[in-house]
Amino acid sequence: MLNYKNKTAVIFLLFLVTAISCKKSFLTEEPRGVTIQDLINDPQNGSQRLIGAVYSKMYDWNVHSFSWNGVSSITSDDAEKGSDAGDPGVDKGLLDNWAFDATSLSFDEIWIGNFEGIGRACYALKFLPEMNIDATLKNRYIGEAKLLRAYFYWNLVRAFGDLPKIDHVLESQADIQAASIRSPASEIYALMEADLSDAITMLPPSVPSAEKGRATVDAARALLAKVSLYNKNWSRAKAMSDAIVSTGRYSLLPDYSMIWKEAGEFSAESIWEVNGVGSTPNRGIEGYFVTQAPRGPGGLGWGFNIPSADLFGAYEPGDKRRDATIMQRGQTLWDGFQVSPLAPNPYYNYKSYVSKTQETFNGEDWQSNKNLRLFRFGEILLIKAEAENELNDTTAAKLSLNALRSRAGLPAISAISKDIMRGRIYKERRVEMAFEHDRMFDLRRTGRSAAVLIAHGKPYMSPKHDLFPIPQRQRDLSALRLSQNPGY
Amino acid sequence: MISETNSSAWYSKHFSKSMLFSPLQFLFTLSLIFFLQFQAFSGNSFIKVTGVVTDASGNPLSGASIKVKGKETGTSTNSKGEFSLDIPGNSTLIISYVGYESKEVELNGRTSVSISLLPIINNSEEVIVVGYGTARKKDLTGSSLSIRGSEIANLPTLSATQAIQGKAAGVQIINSGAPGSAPNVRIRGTGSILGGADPLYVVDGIITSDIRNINSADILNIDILKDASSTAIYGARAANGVVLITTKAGNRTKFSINYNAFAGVRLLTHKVKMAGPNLFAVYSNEAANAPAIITTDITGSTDWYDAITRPGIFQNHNLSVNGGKNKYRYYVSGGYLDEDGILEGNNYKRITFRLNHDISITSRLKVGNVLGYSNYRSENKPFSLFTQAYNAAPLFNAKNPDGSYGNTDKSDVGNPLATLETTNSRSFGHRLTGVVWGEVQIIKGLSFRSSFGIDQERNNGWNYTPAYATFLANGSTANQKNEKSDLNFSRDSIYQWTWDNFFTYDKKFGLAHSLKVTAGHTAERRNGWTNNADLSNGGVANDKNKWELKFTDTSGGQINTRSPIGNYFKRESYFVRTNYTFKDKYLLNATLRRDGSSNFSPNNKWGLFPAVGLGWILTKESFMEDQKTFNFLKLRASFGLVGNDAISSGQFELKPSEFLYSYFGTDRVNGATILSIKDPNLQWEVVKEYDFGVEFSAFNSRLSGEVDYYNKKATKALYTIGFPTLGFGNEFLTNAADILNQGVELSLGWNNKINTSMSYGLKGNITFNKNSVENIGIGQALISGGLGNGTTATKTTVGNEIGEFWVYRTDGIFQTDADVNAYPHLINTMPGDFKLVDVNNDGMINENDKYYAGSYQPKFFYGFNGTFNWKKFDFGIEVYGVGGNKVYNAKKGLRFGGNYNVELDVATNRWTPGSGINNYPRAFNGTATVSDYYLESGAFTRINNISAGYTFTMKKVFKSLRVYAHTQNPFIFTKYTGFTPELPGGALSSGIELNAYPISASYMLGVNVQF
Repeated sequence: MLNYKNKTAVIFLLFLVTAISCKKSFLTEEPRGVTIQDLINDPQNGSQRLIGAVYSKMYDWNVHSFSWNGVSSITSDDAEKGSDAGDPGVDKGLLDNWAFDATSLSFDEIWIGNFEGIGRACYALKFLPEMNIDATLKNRYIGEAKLLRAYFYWNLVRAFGDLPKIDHVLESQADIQAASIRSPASEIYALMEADLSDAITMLPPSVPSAEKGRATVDAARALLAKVSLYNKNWSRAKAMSDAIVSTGRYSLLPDYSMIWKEAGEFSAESIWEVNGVGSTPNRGIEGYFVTQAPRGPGGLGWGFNIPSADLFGAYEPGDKRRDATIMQRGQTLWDGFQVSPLAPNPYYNYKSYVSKTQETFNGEDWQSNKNLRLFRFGEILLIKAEAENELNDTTAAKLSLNALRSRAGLPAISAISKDIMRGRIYKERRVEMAFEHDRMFDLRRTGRSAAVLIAHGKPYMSPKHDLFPIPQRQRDLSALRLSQNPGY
Repeated sequence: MISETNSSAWYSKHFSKSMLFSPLQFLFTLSLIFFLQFQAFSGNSFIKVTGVVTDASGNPLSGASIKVKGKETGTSTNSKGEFSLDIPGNSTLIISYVGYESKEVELNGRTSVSISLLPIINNSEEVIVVGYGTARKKDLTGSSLSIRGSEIANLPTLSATQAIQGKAAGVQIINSGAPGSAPNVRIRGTGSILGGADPLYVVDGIITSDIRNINSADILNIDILKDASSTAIYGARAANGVVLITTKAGNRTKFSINYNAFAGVRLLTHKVKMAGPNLFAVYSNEAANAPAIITTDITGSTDWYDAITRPGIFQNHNLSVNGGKNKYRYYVSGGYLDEDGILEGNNYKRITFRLNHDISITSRLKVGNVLGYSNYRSENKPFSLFTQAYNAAPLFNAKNPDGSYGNTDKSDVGNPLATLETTNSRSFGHRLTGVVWGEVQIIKGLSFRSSFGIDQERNNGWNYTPAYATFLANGSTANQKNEKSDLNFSRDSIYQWTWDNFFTYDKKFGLAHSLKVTAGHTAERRNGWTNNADLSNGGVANDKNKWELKFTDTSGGQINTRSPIGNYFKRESYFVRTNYTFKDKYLLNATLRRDGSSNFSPNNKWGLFPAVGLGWILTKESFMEDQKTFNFLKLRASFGLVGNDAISSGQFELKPSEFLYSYFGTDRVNGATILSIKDPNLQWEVVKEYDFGVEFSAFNSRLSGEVDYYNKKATKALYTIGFPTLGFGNEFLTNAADILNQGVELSLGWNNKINTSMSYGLKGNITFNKNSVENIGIGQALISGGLGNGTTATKTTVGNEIGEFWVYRTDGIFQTDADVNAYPHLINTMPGDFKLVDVNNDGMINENDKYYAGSYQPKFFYGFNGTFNWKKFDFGIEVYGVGGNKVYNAKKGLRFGGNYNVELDVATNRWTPGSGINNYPRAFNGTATVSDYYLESGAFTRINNISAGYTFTMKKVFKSLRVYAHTQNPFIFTKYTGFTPELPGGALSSGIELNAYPISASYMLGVNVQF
């Protein structure tokens, strides 16, 4: 018989035995939140979330916002840094004056943003094939991922030239270091063209209004058409733009200024847009509106990326596009808002403007309702015109160009030579596409960048400045495995 | 044989805990307690005088000497601390006991007395809580210290850690002073870059990271373990030191009711003088090089600090009851703290309750519990308001004549008062911590203890911003406004349990060998969720009673999220500690702990942490017998490995990130995908620490002291290894860095009794620490310390301190265009700008010209305390200071948002053409280049506390009544020109003043009554 004391002792010993015989699995925590397996196990929802994550990158600050404006716009003769003289906007003043170097933050940001998009597309392409969903839907998602990967590469290859070629998921630090080697730009183009060719076979001709923002086959065609222009593959540029025209889905909006208003979202002119939503919960391109909105007393934003006087003067008299593109100090805008007469800058970008009173606005201006028009029919006509002209069909080119001029309230051009026509197309492209992230790359594509920018008073040096520098930070992180562009 | 002294001390530290009750049991026990207590007070007169002698916690002191003053008569206490003596009725007894302060007691006709003795401070008999038990300090081979609760109970601080600032060598407390905030605590330097650097807190055996729920008045002792030999019992969590808090237990022999209260006022003392409206206009126009601000733009004049600050009233009340009888004891308390911040509307309230209880069921079985409950409510105002007030234009009145908020179109900063009044933010919540334990003596010397503890927390918060606007003088709406009301509501629920089971074997073998072994097992789990609800599309009612946010409802544009808390885990550990003493002079402490944690990868779930220490008490040697200087002298050395596992959970798991939103039509898709790679072998940081120490007391124990040298090297420290962004993240967290902290700690104490009515004590300590990053593997330097607008001020790399400032060197001001053109400069540099030194002489100014300019980590810090008692008066003073560190006065160089106001000094002394001024830049708009001009000395010496008290005794009404006056932070001596050189923050970016809470001083009156 155990006495009382010993019984107590035994009970406590039993406690101890229980304690130390804890199962080995005790230390294994179930992961919190969503796992990849959860996405695969719920394929209908999981596949949408995987592709949604790729689209989401289009809204991010480092893809389409402040730095992108710096690299694609402020560098050009169309735009200036803007804002207060004393506010450098990190490196925007340096970009404006072509005084940047490889440490300038804007290059690093767009490098990061677009490669992040590429990584997300690679993850979607890794998991989608094994997900148990309807084959048509799966094809469409895969097509979207390929288009998006090509789009992010498109932003990068124009800026930097040769790039690391990422066509699959990298899983370790060693893999990433090994992949940190630049492949020739031609290989990047080849990857993009392959992706786009696939996407064209996989994407639907149109999307229902409930899915606005998702890509159609024409988005892939439009990008391939533009890529072809850069590669001087005129026949493919023409084929792609013809294919878009022949769908009969698209037309020019009669009122050019309407394209950038909420009422003009997903209009007959629209081919692909980033779908900003300003109602709650809002999701818009981060800082796109507020960084460019007019500054000064009673202003709406930071006032960066302003139209230059050179652009203002580039419009022919009577061109309706000027006042749809450029807002002026003291001007009362279409919705009744007055830009302060004391604003520090003479001009601001009208195409990025969001009306807080006449358009959807929930009080948050960081992610606004503004849709970024990635491709629109107006540009397709320009591509088509240029391709036709280069293929010696000046007459056809003239028709496309005159359609745009007519809408702008300008007289039609008459028959001219191929070379003169080329100049007219370039000029038309500048005023039609101003502040649509095209000008700087277009100047380089057409070999005019040095002449134009030097005339504009910038210390542009060719060939150094024909590409932007590989971000020094990325080079450092690669232990200099990433080579630098010449001259930097 | 276990000595009675040891065992009673052991119990006193260890069993100051009581057990969990049902409410009925609780009431029953309480009534029983009171019944027995009052019975104890009754009694008849005898010639025989009986009594009991205990320590402060009511544990009997056996063998205490009782003498009658002026007579030969005397006796000593038995094992229960009792004595009886036949003596004349009006004698005075002198009670003395080794290690305790002697006491004289006048009988005044009493025949039954209970006497409690206080331990002598810094005495080698001092008992330290060492984790899973206690030990006499003299038997330990590691570095540790103990602070008595009474030293901090009367200080106006929320948490005990704030109150120990300056009192402990090697322990740096960085305290913002903001109501409700927790300070940074750094024991022996900053030992981690990306893991946590705060110590482990153990409250009555329960491990926690936040002790703001503990009322200082309930604390019996704070014990701080510093070196590896002391901390290794906590293995993988011990690298940053361990702070053990023991709450009060009841008293078996003495019933008492204590009421402590204080109330006072806190004042902003360190206001930076700003430019007034006219000077602001002149400066701004000069900066813009245009008459941007004209006379009619000055529509008023406001000192924004005056507009948003106030004297903060605070009060604190504590009522406790403690008592007991032979077999049980209890401590019950309630506390109330109400503190107004110096920002208008900022307030923090806390209510605490405690019930600690233990009972001996049989002579071998004891059970008990510790139960603490706290409830807080904080009305929050953003501390960035201090910076907004610093930046706000002084041109306009805070309110227009019609009562609306004023504003100006000449500056973007807006109206700080409008920000203050439209910020409606409350945090509130409660926390319940409790331990129930049982201990059984299996055989003589061997006991087993099991304790189960819980810690449950609920934290709620809401932020509501109404729709509002501010107005220009002409009545038009200004930029600062909120167009649609919004509301955010959050709720954290956190659950934790801890189960400890361990044996203690404490035995003497013969006369020479003494052995104490503790061995056991512990398991822990922490889990919890955070819920958030957001409503931002307007239409939120102004009346909070009308809010109907539910965490499940998504109607009306409400967004709900639920996510795990960052720190959930399961842990399991085995530990054993052996303290062996040979002939009371040679000491060996050895500790081994094996830790497993769910926070680490399957490959590295378990780690082993050994430590060993040796000690030699020289004063026990025969060759020291003849000297009279030293009463005690000990040399000790230790080495051990401990870990730092302070890392958020799930860091090794490759998981999709969510909330990557995009819109398809009106359908918002919650995108999810993998964004980065993870280190599948992630493990804890391993700290290797050496410690060499000397402890001594001399001159009849009037002087005591301790000196330590430590060398603490964190290896496998968490570091982010960067790699190029190719779509799979840009860095991964891994164990790559080594960080060394080495230093010397010195503490000295001097106690002297001049005569029976006058005594004084002086204590001082100083710590020298050198921090350096030794290795970062294949990683790159970490750039941090963002100042806004893309500029940064710190860089962490090999050979430098963590978070060292990395800035341009300035060499005066460019006076003319010719000066500018004659020297390399950044683009857009003008006369009046700083001349940045071309450090590498390459003819260009770029990042390569920045240099490491010191860090926020002090080279040394020190504390000094003095106490002086004369008759019934007591005086105390506490001083704290740091030296050899730097603070970056960031706010001084930022004007990028538009026309920020500037300091009076900066505006008055600015460079102007031809002025020849070489130490102040020209007026500018924008962001100042990060330079050493803005780097100032962070050294300061501050009088932390001065107190003066008087103690009344009126035995018929109360046992004692002390009234006192106290001031906290009345004086600070510093060259720093900003709000405060004391800036808690993360390791990589501390010491940058952007949104600091300014130094405040408090003045208060208090009372301590014992019935």
